[in-house]
Amino acid sequence: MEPGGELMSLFYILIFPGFAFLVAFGLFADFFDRKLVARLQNRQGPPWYQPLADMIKLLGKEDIITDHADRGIVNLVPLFGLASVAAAFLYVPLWSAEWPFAFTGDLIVILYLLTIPAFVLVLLGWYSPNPFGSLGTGRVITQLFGYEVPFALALLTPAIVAQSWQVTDLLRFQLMDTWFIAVVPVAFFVAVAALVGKLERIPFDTPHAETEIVEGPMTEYTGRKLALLKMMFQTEMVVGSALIAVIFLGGPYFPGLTTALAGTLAGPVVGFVVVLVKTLLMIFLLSLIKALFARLRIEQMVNWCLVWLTIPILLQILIILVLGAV
Amino acid sequence: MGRITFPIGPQHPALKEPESFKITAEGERVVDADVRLGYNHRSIEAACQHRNYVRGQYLCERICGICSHIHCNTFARAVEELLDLEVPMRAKYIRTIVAELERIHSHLLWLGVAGHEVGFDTLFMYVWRDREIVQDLLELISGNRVNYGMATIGGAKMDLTPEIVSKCMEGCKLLLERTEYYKGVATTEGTFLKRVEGVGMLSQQQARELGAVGPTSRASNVPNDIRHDFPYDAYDQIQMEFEPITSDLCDVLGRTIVRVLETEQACRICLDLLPRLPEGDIQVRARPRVPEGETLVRCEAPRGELIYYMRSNGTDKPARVKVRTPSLANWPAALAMLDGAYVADVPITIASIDPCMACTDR
Amino acid sequence: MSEVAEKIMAQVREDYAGEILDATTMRRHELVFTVAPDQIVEFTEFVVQYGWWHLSTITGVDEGEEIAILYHLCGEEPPAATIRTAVPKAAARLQSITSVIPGATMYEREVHDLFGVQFEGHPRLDRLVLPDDWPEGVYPLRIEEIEKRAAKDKEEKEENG
Repeated sequence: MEPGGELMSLFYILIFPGFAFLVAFGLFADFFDRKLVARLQNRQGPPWYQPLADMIKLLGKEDIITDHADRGIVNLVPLFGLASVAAAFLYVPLWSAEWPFAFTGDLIVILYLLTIPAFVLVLLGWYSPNPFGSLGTGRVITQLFGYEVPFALALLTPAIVAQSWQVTDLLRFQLMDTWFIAVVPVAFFVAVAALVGKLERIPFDTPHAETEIVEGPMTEYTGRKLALLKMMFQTEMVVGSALIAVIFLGGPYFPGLTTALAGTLAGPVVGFVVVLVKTLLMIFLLSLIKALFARLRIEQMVNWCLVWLTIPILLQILIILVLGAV
Repeated sequence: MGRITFPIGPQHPALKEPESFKITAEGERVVDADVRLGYNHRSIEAACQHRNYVRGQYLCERICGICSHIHCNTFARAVEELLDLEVPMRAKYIRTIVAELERIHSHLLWLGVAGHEVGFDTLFMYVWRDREIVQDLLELISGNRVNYGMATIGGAKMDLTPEIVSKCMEGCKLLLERTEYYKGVATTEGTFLKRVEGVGMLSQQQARELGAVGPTSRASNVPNDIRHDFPYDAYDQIQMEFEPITSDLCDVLGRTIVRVLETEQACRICLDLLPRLPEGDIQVRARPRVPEGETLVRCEAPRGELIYYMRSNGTDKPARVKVRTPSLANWPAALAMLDGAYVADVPITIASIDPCMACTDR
Repeated sequence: MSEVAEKIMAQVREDYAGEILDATTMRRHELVFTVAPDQIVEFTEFVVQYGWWHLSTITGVDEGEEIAILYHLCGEEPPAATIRTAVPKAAARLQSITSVIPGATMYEREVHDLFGVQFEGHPRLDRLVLPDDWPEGVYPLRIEEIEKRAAKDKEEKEENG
């Protein structure tokens, strides 16, 4: 690779569309979510700079580490969480199917990286002397049983249809054929519901249910560590939404527009804007779900996921395989 | 599975006031629950004994912010009984109307808090927005959103002008519509029902034995309502049909439904009494020195039966003022409900008796 | 007092096997029965079957030499009943009625906390409203304590002017 190429890669990874862009978009997405939920609840909501102000405030606070905790692990683990989510974002094609970081099997890598935030919470709760921490950790692990398998299966269903483990191949399939939301609608529904569980949003936010166990695993953490955890949640929301937008909603493709702009410079730019809009649409859906429902207990959540997520997605895969053989 | 003991309180996001619970849980089930009260004890009963009756009434009104009028009213009624004073009918009507408006405000507050405890923040925001209607009415009537001071020893402090009466009627009609909506939400919203159905069971037998009062006992099919059983103020003047509202569900959903229906009933009582306000004075003069005697008055506060025992000794200071607030009566029932409950259900179960620690500890 | 109340009072006096020291009324809806301290559990059990099954509260009143304990009961309609008994301040001990009415636990704890009356047979006589570090033997609602407090307040007022 030429020297310019390495510099270009570094720019991609750290600035755009990598880490800096992801964090900035994460802050904007958080504002978008909070403002939307507020308006749905008939109140004003925060101004656009609120998430940024929260970050700055948290970064300025005293960082307390309890005696019970292992300093090394507790300082390192939030960084791992944020880093894994940022790494996953690199493999989401944002403006076209010619994505520099794509490779065969990158869908599996994304799924793997997105499981790390749950373990970050588990470790942080484990190292918390607070009983709320251990209760929260137990709930995080139990909740994993509810959403992890359906989420993976739902994202692999389009892969089975398109016969490839590469995200950009799924994009090409959608360009040639139809968007996956029309081909495997059950998988879309399962993916969105499982994403709500992964992000620990209402109705599946019992691991950090404020009125029951204060903040769950995150109770004892403040200052820089809490800022990193919040950033991890925000960026995870962006990555999850962008992934579903790209895989199910056609990504950068817009009927008519894409073929018209194919080959030109405007093509990727417009594609990028389209992906952003679709991601915000997904976040809108997540906010709507948050405003509509109450919080489920942990066993209610796992039971619901078994009945309404795991079984339907298995049936969907069965149907795909049968139709494929036919 | 290992047992873990964790505290809820005295400071906890689930609690609006300090009280300390020690919950021992095995996994997600509660095996033991213990409560320590007394964080809000201000020795109001002792303080009343060296203050005269007027200052004592002012003090007792501030036992609680949410049910302040009923304390003020019951204290006044107790002194009036000791003085053998007959309060004018117009004053009785005014006191009753303010008491019912206070009931609406208290139940709507509770519904919002219940929504918040189960993570249903949208319900919380909507209900508290609608609660502003009744808060505006109370501010219009008395000048205050809490601690109205509408009942004095001898009558009511402020009169209701015709404009106030018409505004109150408009407000009550609007609240009736909104209560219909919340009835629908409480009975049909899926995730909310999942969190409140079958939670916090209290059988009828337990409710009777443990001395539960108010909506807590009425939701276990015990039809106790002091307004109906021992009518006071203008409750015997109500022309519409007035029966205690009960439910046989015995769980948090039952208590929710009872409170929402009581809000509706309170709106209707106001709409019934407001147009028929009798003419006349609103106060009679009361002597500062109260002859020797003792009396017991009961009333139905938003949370249940409120009882004042008062003894006088011929001076202008009472010899004994005893207040038993409904929240204190409901604590044994709350602890019985926690037995075998899920840890996640502890906040909503405790919230379902509508605990008011300021009332409990006095 | 109303006719119904008179009738009920007469009935209770007639039916009760033990001794009722006094039976009067207190204002509109209350009948007051006075019994000796050792009769309290029996009488409560007896009276509950008259429809007075709900214990509203237990009040303690300091009457100088004695502490009067009042049990306020009510049913579903007037009249209601109050059972009154008195124990000497120096030996303030009484049988607990939690065996008859389980809901009496909190009220007896309160009277114990604030007046220093021992309830024998109570499942758990812990502090209810006073803090854990409150000195033993100081009962805030007894007249001596209240007078002490009032005198102290007066002194402070005079000091501060």
